[in-house]
Amino acid sequence: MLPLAGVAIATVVSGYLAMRSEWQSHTSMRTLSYPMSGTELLTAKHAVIVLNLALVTLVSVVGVWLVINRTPGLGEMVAHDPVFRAWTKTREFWTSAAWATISAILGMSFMVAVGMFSFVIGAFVPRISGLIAVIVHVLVWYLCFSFGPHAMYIASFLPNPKIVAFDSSRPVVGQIAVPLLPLWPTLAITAVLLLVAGKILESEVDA
Amino acid sequence: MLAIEMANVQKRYYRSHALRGISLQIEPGKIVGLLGPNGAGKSTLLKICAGLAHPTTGRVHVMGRDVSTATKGLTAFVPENDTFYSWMTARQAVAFESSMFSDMDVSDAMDLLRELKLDPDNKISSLSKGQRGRLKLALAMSRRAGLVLMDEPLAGIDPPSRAAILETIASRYRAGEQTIVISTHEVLESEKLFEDVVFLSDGQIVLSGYADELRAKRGKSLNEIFAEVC
Repeated sequence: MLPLAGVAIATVVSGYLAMRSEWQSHTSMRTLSYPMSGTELLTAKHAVIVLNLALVTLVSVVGVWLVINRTPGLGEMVAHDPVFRAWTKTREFWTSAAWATISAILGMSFMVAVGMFSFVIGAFVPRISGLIAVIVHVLVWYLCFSFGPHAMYIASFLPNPKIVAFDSSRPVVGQIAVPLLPLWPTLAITAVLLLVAGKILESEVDA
Repeated sequence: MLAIEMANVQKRYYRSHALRGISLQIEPGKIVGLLGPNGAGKSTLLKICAGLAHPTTGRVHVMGRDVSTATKGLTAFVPENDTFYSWMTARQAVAFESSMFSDMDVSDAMDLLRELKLDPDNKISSLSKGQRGRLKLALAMSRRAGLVLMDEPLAGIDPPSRAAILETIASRYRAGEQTIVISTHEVLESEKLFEDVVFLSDGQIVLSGYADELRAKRGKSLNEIFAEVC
């Protein structure tokens, strides 16, 4: 599970670090001289980072799967675990897998957007930009957890992804629905973060 | 329509003033020297015109418009720092720039690379400072930009590369259609290029005018005037 933990940490910091490296290497001066809006610039960079993270995650998942299957005893142990047995027996496997993939990518998108947003706000005060970025990062997370349930309630009329499984280990087969992240609110917040950061980048931040 | 118009532009970084109330009009179709010692505010002034920095107060118009995404498309900026993605080759840098600017002539850029003795397939990370300076110039001069802003194009460059850069500016300049503003504190080598000059010191304009008129009036070269006023 270590590679997946690494991916999770990388996801949290990669948006901020990618932006910081642009400023440290002065490539920001070139990219900001292009005739494109700040939002377009950030969105393009965001897409590349998320794609990279998705590829690294895919490699990590395949690696973990190979290790589980090739370690004597470990594969059987996992296969006999009721949770995993429920997974493999359900007809909804592919739908659930698709929703899980979409949710993972969206979750990465959100975290990368938070990192980029925190960098842009931090760039207002270059001397203590790192500290400002950390504060903004924490604040965004706090606000998301505080208002997340409200956002989920407001968006409850929209379909939300979930993993559906059937637990056959019980005498009566029961359906289990595991809710994934709130899709629409996360999508909306990600878009708003990129939009606001882009506007600030083009009108306030010096290259 | 003026190439650049600035009215009472100030730029502050915390307690220090980079620009102190600059009012400036640069006529189109000329090569203008922005001359001043280190820390005079030359780079800040050019960055503001290129849309890379924002004035604290004052108004800036480039080609008759407020500085914006649209004016960035009309302006070629040659920064003093290396701003390339070092993993690219020179050819890839040309392709990348051409994908951003519709006025870029790729075949002209490749010709210019050859003229400046640059191998298009060399990685930017393997180029010397002089070669990277020539590459920056090739990217800017192969565009049909109405305004070219060059920030210290000769700084830290070896003498043969400096000569090549000055020759290229003189030969590629489209007189009448294009305005080139060159900031430098190395006046001796570049002064013959300038039609107009603006002397900047401590964030203020201390002298400006037609280069020939200033030389005739003071009986001195621009380099000597620079030493006197800055």
